[in-house]
Amino acid sequence: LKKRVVITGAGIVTALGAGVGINEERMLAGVSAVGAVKSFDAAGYRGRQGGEAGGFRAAELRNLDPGRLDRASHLLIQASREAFTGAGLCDRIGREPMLVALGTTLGGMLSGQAFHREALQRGLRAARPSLLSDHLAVCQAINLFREFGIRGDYRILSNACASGANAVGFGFRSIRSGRCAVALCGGYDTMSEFTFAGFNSLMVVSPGLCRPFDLNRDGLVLGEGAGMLVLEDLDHAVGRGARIIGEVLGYGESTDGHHMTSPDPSGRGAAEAISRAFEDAGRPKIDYINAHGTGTTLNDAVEARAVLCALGPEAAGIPVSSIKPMIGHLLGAAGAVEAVASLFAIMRKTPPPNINYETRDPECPLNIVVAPNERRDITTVLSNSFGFGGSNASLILGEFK
Amino acid sequence: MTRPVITGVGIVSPAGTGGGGLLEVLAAGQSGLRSSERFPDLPGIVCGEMTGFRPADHLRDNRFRRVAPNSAFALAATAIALKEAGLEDADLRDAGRTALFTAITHGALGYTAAFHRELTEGGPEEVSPIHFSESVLNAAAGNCSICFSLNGPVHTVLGGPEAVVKSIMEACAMLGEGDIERALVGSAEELNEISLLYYARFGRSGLSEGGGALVIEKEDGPAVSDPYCYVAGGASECNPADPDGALESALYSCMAAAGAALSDMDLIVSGSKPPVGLLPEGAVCADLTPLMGDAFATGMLWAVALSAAALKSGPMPQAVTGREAADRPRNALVWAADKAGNAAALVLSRYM
Repeated sequence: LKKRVVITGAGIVTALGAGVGINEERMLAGVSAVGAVKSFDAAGYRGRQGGEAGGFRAAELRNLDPGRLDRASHLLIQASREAFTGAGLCDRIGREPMLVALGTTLGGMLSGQAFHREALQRGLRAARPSLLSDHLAVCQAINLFREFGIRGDYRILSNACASGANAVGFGFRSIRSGRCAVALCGGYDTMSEFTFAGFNSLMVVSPGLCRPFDLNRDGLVLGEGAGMLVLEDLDHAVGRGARIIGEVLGYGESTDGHHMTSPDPSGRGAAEAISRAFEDAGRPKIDYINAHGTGTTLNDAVEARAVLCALGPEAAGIPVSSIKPMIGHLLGAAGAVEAVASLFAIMRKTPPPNINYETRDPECPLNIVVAPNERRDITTVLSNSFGFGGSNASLILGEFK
Repeated sequence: MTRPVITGVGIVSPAGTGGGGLLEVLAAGQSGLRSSERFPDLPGIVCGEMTGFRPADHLRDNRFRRVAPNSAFALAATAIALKEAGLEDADLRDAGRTALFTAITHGALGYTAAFHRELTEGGPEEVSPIHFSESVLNAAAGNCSICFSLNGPVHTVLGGPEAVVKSIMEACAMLGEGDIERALVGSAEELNEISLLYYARFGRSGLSEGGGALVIEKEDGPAVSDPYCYVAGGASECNPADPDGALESALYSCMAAAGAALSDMDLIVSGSKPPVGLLPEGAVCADLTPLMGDAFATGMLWAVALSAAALKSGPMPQAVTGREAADRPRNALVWAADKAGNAAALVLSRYM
C-alpha cells in the first residue's frame, strides 16, 4: 500500500532573501532580485546580471565554526534549519533515522574555484587542500549531519538543473514505499565565476532581462540559493501533531538521450516526465504550472510543446509562470526552490508572476501569468525541471486535504 | 519474490579491461600500479594509469571522441557489461524501463582544471564550452544515456565508495517496485595531478582510474540467463559522530536486508580495515587495491563486479586474498567506510 507523503516544513534562501516569509511575499508580488553581478568582475561577459543572494552572509550555526564553512554549506544549512523549525522537528533530530536527499550541480564550486586559482597563481603544492575537500558535495552533506546531529543516511543526486526536483522525488518515493518515515529533501548551488563563464561560453546567458516564454527572450540569468522541504509519511506527521502545509502527489522522471546541453526539440523526453508525474498523481486537475522556464529560445519552446503533449490541448489554459526572472536559474537548487514556490501558490492561492513577459510567442502557446498577487483557485501544481544530460523531472504538489 | 540479479559486468582498469573473465587475469597477480608516466611534475608517484586505453576498441559510436576520460571509461565499461548481458544490440529506448545510476566521486578532473586554467589565464573569451559541459558531474551519465539511447531515470549519485552501494540499492528498489525492467549501475574516475597530490598529502597513495558497470535485472527478465549472482541486500548509513558505529549499523542492517548473518559470509571484500572483532574470523578477505589501485567510487564497483564473478566462477584469486581458497564463495560481503562517518555494505549471493 502506498503511503501518503506530506510536507511539514520548508526553507528557502534566494536573492530575494532568506526565509519563507520574505520569499513568499516578494515572489507573489513579482519583485526582481536580479542585478549586476558583484561577487566577481563580470565585465567581460555577454550577460552580466545574476541573482546573487548578496544579503545572505552566513547560516545560524550551533555546532560548526562559521569561518570554516564553504558558502554552499551555509546556504544548505540555513534553508534546512528553517525547514526543520517549521516542521517542529528540531528537538527530534537524531532520535530517529532520517533520509537526507540533496540535489546539487557542482557542490562547493566556490571552494573548488579558489583552489584552482591558488594552484595556478602559487603552484599546486601551495594551494590549500581544505578548499578541495570543500569542493566535494559530500562535504556539504557531512556538514549538514554534523550541524544538526542527524542520524540516518543521505543521497546526493547531481543531475544538472533537475537535481533539486530529483532529490524531492527521491524522498517522496522513499517515504511512499515505506523505506523511511521522514526525509529532508532539496537542493543548493552557489553563484561562481566557473558556472557563469561556462553558461556564457554556451551562449545561453541573456545580455538583458530573462523573459521566459516571451517572443523576444534571449537567454537565462544565473542565481544562487537553496530550497529544502521536510517530507513525512502522513501517519508519522499526524502522530506527532505536525502542521501539514502540503502534499506531494506525484513524481515523474525521464531522460532525453539526445544531447549533452540541448533538449530534444520534439519535447518527447520532457513530456514523458510530465506524463509520468501526472499518472503517478492519479491524473489530478492541474491548477497552475511552475515552469522550468529558463528564458532560452529552445528550452521554453520545448517545455511548451511537452506540456501540451503530456496534458493535452486544454493545458493551454492552465496558468503558467517561471520564477527565474526574479531570482535567476539556481541550477541544482532550482527544482527544490520552485517546489517551495509552488507551495506558496497553493497556500496563498496566488501564482508568482512571470515578470518581464511582454510579447506572446506562437511557439509557446501557454497561459502565462503576468499580474502579481492575483488570486486563483490553486490546489494542485505541476513543477517542471530539466537539465544538461537530458535530465527531466516533474513534481506534482497539492493542498493537503 | 523476484530477485535482482547481476547479468553483466564491465571493468576498465589499469589491471585489465574486460568482463567477469578479468578474475582470471587477476589470478596472475600482475598489478596495474606503476610509476606515473603522465605526470612529470610528480616524479616517482605510483598510481594506476589507463595507458593504452582506446575507447574505439569498445564503442562503434564516434560522437564521443572528445568526451572527458572519465566519460570514456564509463562508456567503455557500460558497453562491455551490456555485451556480457546479451544486450549489446537491444533497444534500450524502451519506454523508460531501463535506468542508469552512475556513482561519481570527482568527475572530469582534467577538463575541470583545463576550464579553470583557461578562465584564469585567458579570461572569458578563452574558455572552451566543451570543457564546461563535460566537467559537470553528470556528464558521464549523460553521455551514457545518449550513447545507449536510455530514456528512463538516469541519476548521478555523488560520494565515495558508498555511492556505488547506494546506486545498487536504488536500482534494486526500483526493480522491486516495478518501476523499471533493468538497471545499469556504473562508475568512472580519472586521475590528474591535483588528486594525486591532494591525497598524497593525507597519506593516501596508489590511486587509480578507470570505469566499471553492472547490468542488474529481475531474475525472471526476458533476456536473463546464467546470471552472475543475485543482490541479497544492501545498506548505507552516515554518522559523522561515530564512524565505527555507522559501519557496524550498516553491516547489521545489510545482513537484515539480506536475511543472512555475518557468519554466512565466506568472502569479504573491502579496501579498508574493519574495527577489530567486527567481522567473522575465518572468512576469506580480499583487497583489490594492491592490484587495481584506489579508484574511489569506481574501486567499489570493481569490488562488486569481481565478487559477482567469484560467486559465479570463483574463487577470488589468491593474489587478492593472500590465501588459497578452495571453492567459489556462496555469499560475498562488499563494504566500505570512511572517517567522515560514511558506511555501506552489500551482500551478493550465489545464484541458484
